[in-house]
Amino acid sequence: MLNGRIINIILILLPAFFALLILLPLTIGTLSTLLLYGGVDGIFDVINDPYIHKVAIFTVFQAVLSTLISTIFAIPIARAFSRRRFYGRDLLLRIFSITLVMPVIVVILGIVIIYGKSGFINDILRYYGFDAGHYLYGLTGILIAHVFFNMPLITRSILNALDAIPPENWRLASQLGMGDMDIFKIIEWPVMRRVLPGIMGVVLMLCFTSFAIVLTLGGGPKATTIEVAIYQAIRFDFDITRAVGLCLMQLFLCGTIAGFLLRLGRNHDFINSEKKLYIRPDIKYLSTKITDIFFISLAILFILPPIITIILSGINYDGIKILTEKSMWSATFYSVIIALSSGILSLILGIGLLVTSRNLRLKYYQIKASNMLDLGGSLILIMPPFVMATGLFLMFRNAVNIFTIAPILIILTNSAMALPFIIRIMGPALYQAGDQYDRLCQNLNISGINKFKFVDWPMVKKPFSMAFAIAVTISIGDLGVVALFGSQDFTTLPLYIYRLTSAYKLDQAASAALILIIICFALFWAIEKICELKIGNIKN
Amino acid sequence: MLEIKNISICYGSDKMNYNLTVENGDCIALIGPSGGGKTTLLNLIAGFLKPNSGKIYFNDDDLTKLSPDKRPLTMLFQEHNLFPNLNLFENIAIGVNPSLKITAEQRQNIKKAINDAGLNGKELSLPKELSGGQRQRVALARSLVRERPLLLLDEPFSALDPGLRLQMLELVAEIQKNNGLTILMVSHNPEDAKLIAKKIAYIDDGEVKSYGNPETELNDPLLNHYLGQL
Repeated sequence: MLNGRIINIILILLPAFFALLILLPLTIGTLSTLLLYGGVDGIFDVINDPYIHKVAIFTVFQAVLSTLISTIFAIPIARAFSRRRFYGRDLLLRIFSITLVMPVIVVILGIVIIYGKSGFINDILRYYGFDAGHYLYGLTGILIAHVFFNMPLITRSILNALDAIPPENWRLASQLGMGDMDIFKIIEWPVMRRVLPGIMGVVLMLCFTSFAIVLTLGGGPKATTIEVAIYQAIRFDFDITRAVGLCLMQLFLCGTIAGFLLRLGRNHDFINSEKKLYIRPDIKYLSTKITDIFFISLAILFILPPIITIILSGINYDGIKILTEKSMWSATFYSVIIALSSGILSLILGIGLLVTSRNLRLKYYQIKASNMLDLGGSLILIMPPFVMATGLFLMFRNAVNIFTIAPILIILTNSAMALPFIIRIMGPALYQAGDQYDRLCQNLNISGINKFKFVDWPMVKKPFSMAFAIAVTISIGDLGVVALFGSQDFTTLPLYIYRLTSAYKLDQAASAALILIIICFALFWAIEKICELKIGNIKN
Repeated sequence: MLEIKNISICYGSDKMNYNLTVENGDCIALIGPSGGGKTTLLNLIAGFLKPNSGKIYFNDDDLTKLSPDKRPLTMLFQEHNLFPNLNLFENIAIGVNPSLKITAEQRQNIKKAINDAGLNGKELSLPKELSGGQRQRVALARSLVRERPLLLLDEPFSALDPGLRLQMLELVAEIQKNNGLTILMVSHNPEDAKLIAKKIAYIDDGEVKSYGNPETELNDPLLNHYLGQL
């Protein structure tokens, strides 16, 4: 009897055990390696270096500014979307919800083509006799790109909150004759205030650890972040002590932000609220008509051009030539393999943690242990990819030629990066499936493969495909760790595009970017299709 | 006098068409099956829905084209009558001025309404700190300070315990007597109707099927069928 119980507990702990077997070396392992290599003196020298201070201050400054600008625009844009129903609104909102998973390098390229030295904006300015020159590179470019990625995210989050306002409140507002400002103060601001700290914190963190954007658009030592400085220390100066010092500084600052976020409590951003029909009284005010048209146009003019540009300029004679290049195809091949592998690994790790955590909670009422596992998976967000990569680099540096195992290191870091998303998306569905049906299944003696076929899979297949697709997309578009480990022989598509962009071969870069987008969508589509397949249904 | 003349509205394939006349100072209970169109009628009177055709008059003034805030009425919903971030006093004051700017005299009126609704001492409480019954009392107190002659009640007490519901109905009856209000009340319960309504309108399929005194109406075969008393 007792033996059976112990075996049961071991079986329940096994999935998380295997997940931690990989996750612990990736986190605690890399951290201790960093501390061992750094040496206290060297790290203090780095921390006292005035140049590093400048970099740290700029990192915080650009992150705070990006977050504030994104929020300031997101508020009126979300209000406009909440008030208006128009042709193309749903499509726009769908685009808004995918900016975060779009390959960063593709968007950067779009931004360079539009805002760059020989871009559309400069063409127009030159026509009127102005010369704005290289205004893009530096803080401006970083801000434009960060707002592009994060303003839609905040807008969606606010809009979800506004959609959840009970329709009675809008009727009350119209009965009481509330004006635009009254509605904002009394109805909208209170619900925004609930979601803003959480989502702004996430955005702050994303901008803080942003790498590809700062690397490509930062332009020089004046506009460099800690993440880019780590990359330069390893790749160009080969100054390990400096890299370790920077890593620790980055980790400390990220931890501070995350600690602050945790105190704000849970946010419910990934939950889509159900669509309720509501009629707002302020749709008929002239003032809101003017501001809404202004802000919706602004959002369209800001978000769509970089995307459309890539699609349009991707098809050009010079660019099409890359289709015959072997290096392009090898980069594509590596990208797909790495993306699928990290997606699968990430799913295995996430499900391992979640299955154990669900069973601990539902069968043994070990709520604390269960929460610890969930939190642990999400806490990986604090570990900047470069800190993890630097640690891995040091761990394996003496054992093997680092460039031969580069793909494996990238798969490991990418899957760790996607883990918080997997847990966020799949966690609720897995709990629900367990919570609602475990007892019923016991009652009807449904277990094992049958339980999976008839009960678990139908409930989790949607979040499963979503989580997998997102993990794959994040990985395939990533231009982070691969920049550190990439070489002539081993390149991914984002790195390939980055090299073309740096060499100002914008035509070819655009074509490669178009290929990357097409692969992204194809993978997303294929994953959804495969996961939609029904298994084990009764045939009529 | 409230006159609803041939007001019609379409919901997909469902067509609603209402005719009803209510004398000033009367309390009318609207009874009928779910989905029969009781709430739609109140939403039309309140101006939350726009009719396709027909007219609504109150004391010979045409309300049909007026926006909800210009109409001489207050409507109470089943829930969410209060703004969650405003305290009890502010939730009532917002009925006087939507920007919460009130004069000393209005402040006195609000205090009196709080007293009449039996909410003394709770002025600073937030809605989440109040019970369901207290929240609906706040909504009633707000309707008092708005001083509108018409009161539309969309099942505001149906979620309350039977005893509490009775208390609230008594409060409504008292308020009506003291302020000479005209009331339209959606209800599922014939007891409510008997208690405070002067007339009952039976509504189904988007129209007023029959209309009369509680005694005669409650013996009507249509209503008895709905109540399951055949």
